[in-house]
Amino acid sequence: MKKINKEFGMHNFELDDHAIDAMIQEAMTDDLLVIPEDFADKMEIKAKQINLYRFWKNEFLKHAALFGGAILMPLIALGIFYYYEPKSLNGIVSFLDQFKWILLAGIIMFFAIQLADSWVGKKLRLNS
Amino acid sequence: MEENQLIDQIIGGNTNAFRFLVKKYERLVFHIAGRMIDQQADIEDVCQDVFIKVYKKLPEFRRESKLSTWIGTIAYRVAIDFIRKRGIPLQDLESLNTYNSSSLIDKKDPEEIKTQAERIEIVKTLIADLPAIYKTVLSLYHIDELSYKEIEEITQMPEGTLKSYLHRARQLLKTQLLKHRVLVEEWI
Repeated sequence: MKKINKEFGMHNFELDDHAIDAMIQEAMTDDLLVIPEDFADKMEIKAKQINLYRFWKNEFLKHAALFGGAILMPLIALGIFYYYEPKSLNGIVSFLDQFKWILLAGIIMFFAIQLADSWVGKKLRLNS
Repeated sequence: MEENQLIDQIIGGNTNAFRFLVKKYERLVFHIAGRMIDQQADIEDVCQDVFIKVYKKLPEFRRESKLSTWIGTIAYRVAIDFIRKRGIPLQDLESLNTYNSSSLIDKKDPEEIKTQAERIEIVKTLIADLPAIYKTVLSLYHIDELSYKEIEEITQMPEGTLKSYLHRARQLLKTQLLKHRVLVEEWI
């Protein structure tokens, strides 16, 4: 591989790609970067923190939705009653009777959305 | 543990499985970040960001590619973002205009370079002086032994560009080695 031109004191090499690759590999392998020994432990602690954060975020959202629903629904009911001002029990019954199909459709839609939401969520988790 | 099983466990919140994943891929992530960033503390910060992203985004992993390639892609992007935030122009990462052989080599008398360790030191210095993208591609190809397709996926560079980077890096090293008359016959 090496030819020495003694007259000029120069070294001339026929370096092919394989030779260069071997050099690069050896030099870079030797030059392995410093990975802290406790790096994986640190990352596990971070993962636990993320889990904890996720848990409280989900709990907060769940409770906020329940609390919001608990406040909102009676408010809507009160608003409707306030608007129609039923004078007696008969008035309430006739009011409910008047809107029974809308109420029924609303309840069915509510459950249908819940079901569709769970189904899509499950499907996404399976596909990911 | 099988890869899909590992992913499922991590998505389910198993932090021990995540620890296993970190151990498995930390070398790859440190290689990518380490070739692009100089300071050890910054490298560690970037690698932490990478694994946090991996943990958070794992449910979105579509399992169409290898997990190592996906993690490598995140590592490469996070490292690029870090460099961008530091205000370093991205052209500097691949520009060879500023490339010159290290002063350490210039000071060396070629006749003094006799031991293998000295030769390795010379090549290491020459590689360290290469632009970040060259170093990253060299590291992924030679050390992590990834295929062109995998490197292409990680860096989003076409195969032709990757081959050209590898070729130019080889040529540069060759020129520098010949220029400095480093004895290399023992490697060959």
